[in-house]
Amino acid sequence: MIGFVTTPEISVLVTQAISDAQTSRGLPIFWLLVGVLICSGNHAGMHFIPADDEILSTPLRGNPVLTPRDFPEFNTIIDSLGGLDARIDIPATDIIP
Amino acid sequence: MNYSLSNMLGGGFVGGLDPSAKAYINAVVAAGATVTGAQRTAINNFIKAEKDASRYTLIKRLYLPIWGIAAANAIDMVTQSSGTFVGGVTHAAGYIQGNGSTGYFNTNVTPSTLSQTTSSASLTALITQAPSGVGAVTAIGSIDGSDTTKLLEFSHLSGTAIIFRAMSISASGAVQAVVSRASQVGIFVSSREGGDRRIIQRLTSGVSTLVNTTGANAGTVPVTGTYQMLRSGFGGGAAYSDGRYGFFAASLGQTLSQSQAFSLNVKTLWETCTGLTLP
Repeated sequence: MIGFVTTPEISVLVTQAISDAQTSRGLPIFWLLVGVLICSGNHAGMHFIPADDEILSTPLRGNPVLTPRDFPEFNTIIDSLGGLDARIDIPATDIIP
Repeated sequence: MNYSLSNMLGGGFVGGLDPSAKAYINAVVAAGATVTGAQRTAINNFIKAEKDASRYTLIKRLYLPIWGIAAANAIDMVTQSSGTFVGGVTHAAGYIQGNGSTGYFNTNVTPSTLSQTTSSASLTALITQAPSGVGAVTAIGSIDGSDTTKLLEFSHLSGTAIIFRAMSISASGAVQAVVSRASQVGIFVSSREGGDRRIIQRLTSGVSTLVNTTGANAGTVPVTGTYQMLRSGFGGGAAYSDGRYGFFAASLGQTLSQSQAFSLNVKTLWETCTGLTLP
């Protein structure tokens, strides 16, 4: 699974920022990335935020289609995680309690 | 930011429709989906048929995730409230599909809030492609933490069965039927109504009652949100589904005849709106 490994504290802030990007536009919170606790492996205790290219290209709204990348907050949020190149691939088994 | 104000505030004018259908269509259009005339008619006919048959008041949440965009797929047909997609979910024309590891949908409402009870609860899922593998994954469900006396779910069991657990992981509250994983497709209506517990399956070829039995009430209604493609409260990656789903519903208990008629109405709605055919 491709995504960001970060601290639980930053993970919560990222989820909140994505939430705020929707509510600040008067929208319901219809899409989120939520950090999952890594239970085993080299990053146990950290949070994993899934963020492969397909997830980051999710069609959020239509006419025209908008993906997460089309929101101005996207770069700020990704930068807070170290940029797209900071993503790593971890085994799915690492997040299974 | 290339963002259409009309998409945020508007939605196309929809006239001559049932008020519930009109409200849903307007919400979907406001989310940026295109709703054709045929789709509008199908949605209107579906809701009117449910109302005419006095089933609509039983239905608490309906999701028709066929629009190819998350905002529209997240809208409940009954209340126009929005759930939340999380992680990796594909939004295709006609269905959504979890990635089996991080993707799910949170309805943001609990069975308790929906007035589902130990003697009256129903879950429906339209499945166009069964989850891969043979591991146990949930189509729609809720559980309080890991308390197996406080859960409500319709799931693909490990191996070759499907199961409806109504406030009990086993015993009288749970009913299951042997169905090979590849055949776990079509419309499944699982219901607990009075003393009855049953699962029916509708395919293009017809409708079958997979299991129909009676049992005493057990357990407690969950107060955790109902998820799709994952059972809430279970945690980790063990129960994520990568199946394809075109419709979900949460309602009060239905009789057998109500479930059969409801599933036929859902079939007509989904097939008309998508141009696809139920397996």
